[in-house]
Amino acid sequence: MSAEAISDNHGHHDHAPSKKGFMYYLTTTNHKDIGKMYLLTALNFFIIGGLFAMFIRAELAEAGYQLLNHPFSVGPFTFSFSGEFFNQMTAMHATFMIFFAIIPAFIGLGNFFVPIMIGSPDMAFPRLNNWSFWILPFSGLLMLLSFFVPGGAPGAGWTSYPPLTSAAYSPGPGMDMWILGIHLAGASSILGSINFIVTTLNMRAPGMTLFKMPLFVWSMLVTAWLQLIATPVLAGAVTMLLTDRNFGTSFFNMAGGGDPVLYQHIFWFYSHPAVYIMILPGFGIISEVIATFSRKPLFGYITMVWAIIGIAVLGCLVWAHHMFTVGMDPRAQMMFMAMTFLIGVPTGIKVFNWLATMWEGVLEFTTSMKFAIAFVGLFTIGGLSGIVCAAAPVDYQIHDTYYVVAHIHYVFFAGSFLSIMAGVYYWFPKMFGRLMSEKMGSVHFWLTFIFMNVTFFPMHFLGLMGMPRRIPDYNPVFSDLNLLCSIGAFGLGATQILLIINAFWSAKHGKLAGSNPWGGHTLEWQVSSPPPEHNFEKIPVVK
Amino acid sequence: MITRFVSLVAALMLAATQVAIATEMKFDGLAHPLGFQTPNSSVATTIAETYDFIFWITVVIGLLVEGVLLYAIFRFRRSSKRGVEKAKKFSHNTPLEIVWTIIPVIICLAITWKAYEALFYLKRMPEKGMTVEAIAYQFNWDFRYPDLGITGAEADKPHAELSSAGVERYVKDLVVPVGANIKMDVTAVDVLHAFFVPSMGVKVDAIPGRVNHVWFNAERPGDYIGQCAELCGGAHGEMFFNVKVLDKADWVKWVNTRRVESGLQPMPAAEIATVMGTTL
Repeated sequence: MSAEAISDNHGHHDHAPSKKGFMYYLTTTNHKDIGKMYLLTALNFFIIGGLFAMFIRAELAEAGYQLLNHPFSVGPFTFSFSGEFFNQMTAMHATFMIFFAIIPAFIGLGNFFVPIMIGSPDMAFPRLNNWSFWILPFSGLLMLLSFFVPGGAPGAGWTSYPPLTSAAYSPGPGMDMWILGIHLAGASSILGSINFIVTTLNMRAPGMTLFKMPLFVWSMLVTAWLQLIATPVLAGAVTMLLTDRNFGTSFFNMAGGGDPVLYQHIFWFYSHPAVYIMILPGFGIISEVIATFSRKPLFGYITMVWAIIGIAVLGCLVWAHHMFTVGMDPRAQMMFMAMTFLIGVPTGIKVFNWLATMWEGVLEFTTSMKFAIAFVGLFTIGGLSGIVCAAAPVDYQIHDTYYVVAHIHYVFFAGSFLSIMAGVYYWFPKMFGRLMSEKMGSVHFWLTFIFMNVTFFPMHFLGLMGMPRRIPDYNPVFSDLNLLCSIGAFGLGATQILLIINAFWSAKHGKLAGSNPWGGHTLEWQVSSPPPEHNFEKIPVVK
Repeated sequence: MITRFVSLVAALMLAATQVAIATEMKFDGLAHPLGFQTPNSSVATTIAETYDFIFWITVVIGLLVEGVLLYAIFRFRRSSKRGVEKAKKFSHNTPLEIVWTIIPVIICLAITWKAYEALFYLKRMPEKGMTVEAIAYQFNWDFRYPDLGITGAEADKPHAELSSAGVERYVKDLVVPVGANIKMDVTAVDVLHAFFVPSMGVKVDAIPGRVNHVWFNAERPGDYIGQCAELCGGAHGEMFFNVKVLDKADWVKWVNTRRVESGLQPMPAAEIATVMGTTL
């Protein structure tokens, strides 16, 4: 009885006490609502993609087939997982994590905070914002439905290299659904990026010059440019695949004079910049969090901005380092290799600047700061293993092995995921007006930190020893390390339940945050938590 | 309290991981310290050297960054003695920023030079050597010796190590002589595959409509497992093959057995040596 009374009281604290129904969210043009919906969508697809990863690790826990090729019955239905099903799991794990978890999570945070941080009442095109969001869950759903069509989901990796994805070798409609899903997600991404670019360039408050913008805004701006430049190219690649499959063209079909390697060039022309689309916003978040909790201004702001731009430009020129084994001219390999090494320079500058920001500051280890510091420490490992992968001769040994899997997870998990977590713990009080539980957050952080290293670090060794990726069974000499990876993965997966509990519990019952719980200096901390409908009573003037 | 407990568990688990991975594993009959498989060709050795050069540079940079990070965590943490007012306000240091831009550029140039040398050694096909064709298809390999008029044999019994998991695997042999340059012509008939022998240091994609080249020179006789390394469909993980390196006498015997099995005359040893581009 008394509990109900208390929760009623909480209801009255809400800024919008009236219940918001489905129609409200379907039609809302408020960037804050849309930002939250992006984050919720990302969380849902993160769970789905995570479950796929659990299946993969369960199969790989021991040598031999664990789940595959063992028919089992549930009631009247008999299931049997085939090798193709394993391939569907790896393909859809990557697809969901990349297109529907990491990218939407960053866009969600950007949607909520970019307008506030530049002193704008909303995004430049609020209706477009609504539209670019609502495409996204349905494109994910379309891909998910491909599991239920004849032939099942596409099982050719998230890279979908032809000829394996041609009509002859992937005959079902699942592959076409994947292609159309990519088209829709790409359209959402392009529309969103136009919105971010116009908002940042046109909607800044008086006095907010480009070089006064917080680094997170800069990173979202550069990311939006990358999306705008690269995503249409991906759309081109998958469109050619679609016409090859259905309308008799031969872009990638050698029998008709095409070339499967052409697809790889076009695909990676998008997908390498996509890696930066998934990490640059993280750099922005980390810069905000570290500066705030070191109680110091960000070190080397100007070089930080140019480093982001430098990474983005170089990142568009290195795609063929994913293709060193296709038999390219060594001189071309040489150029792609050297350009890739050079990305280490601006990335190094960023890491050094974060360290210098912490230097002689007064560090406060909130959960957000813990994630940010872990990001700096672990992303460095991912960056350095990237240098190893980028050396063409070394890549002949480790290409398509678990070393690459280890590398990309140190970039996407230690990089993207940890930075998203730093951002969520940092900005949650601003979004919902209540603090997340620091205790639960701390446990979540430590378990994540341990289990991610237990999961991904041994994969370096597996790769060096020659275990290829995307295989459901392996040479038994790899057993012990694989078991270790699997234990880590299950722990890592289970740990994320804490995040979900913490978020949903704290949104209702957390401590009230007040407008500036962390002592931040950017504009979002000048308004109430959650911010009012149009962010500012009157447009702020930046000195 | 909870945090301290979790940190303790964290430390213990990381230590356990270290012990687990420091235990040497048996690999191809050799104790293996979790790096590359023991190189068995000058190609693999060159790759291992290039890797070591880059690896140690990354280790130094990595330790430097982690060291500074750990120092900062402990030295600059907030405590009862270090309040917020102790935070310095500096935000630039131009000489320092120039230094940490220039040094990485120099390191990049050094790595590029080292990798360049290795790259052109690996990609320059030797003039003398024996051509072997590898043709990949879903889900197996065919090996052909065009200059000897023979093909590789079918596997006649399950592979001892790879079948231990309750799955019977028939693994074809790619038989090669020790000490001769083997020039592989690699292609595929259906989808993409990749020819990958870790101990020889070779990996190249098998692409329908293209022939890719890669070479190696086996230094020791023995059996070395190779595998498809490009996703090729449901049984991608089953595409093993075994590189069987024979000493020269056994090799001549094997060639002539295969020739007789194919209905051809045995070949004199000197002629086989000419094909191999070496002396016997």
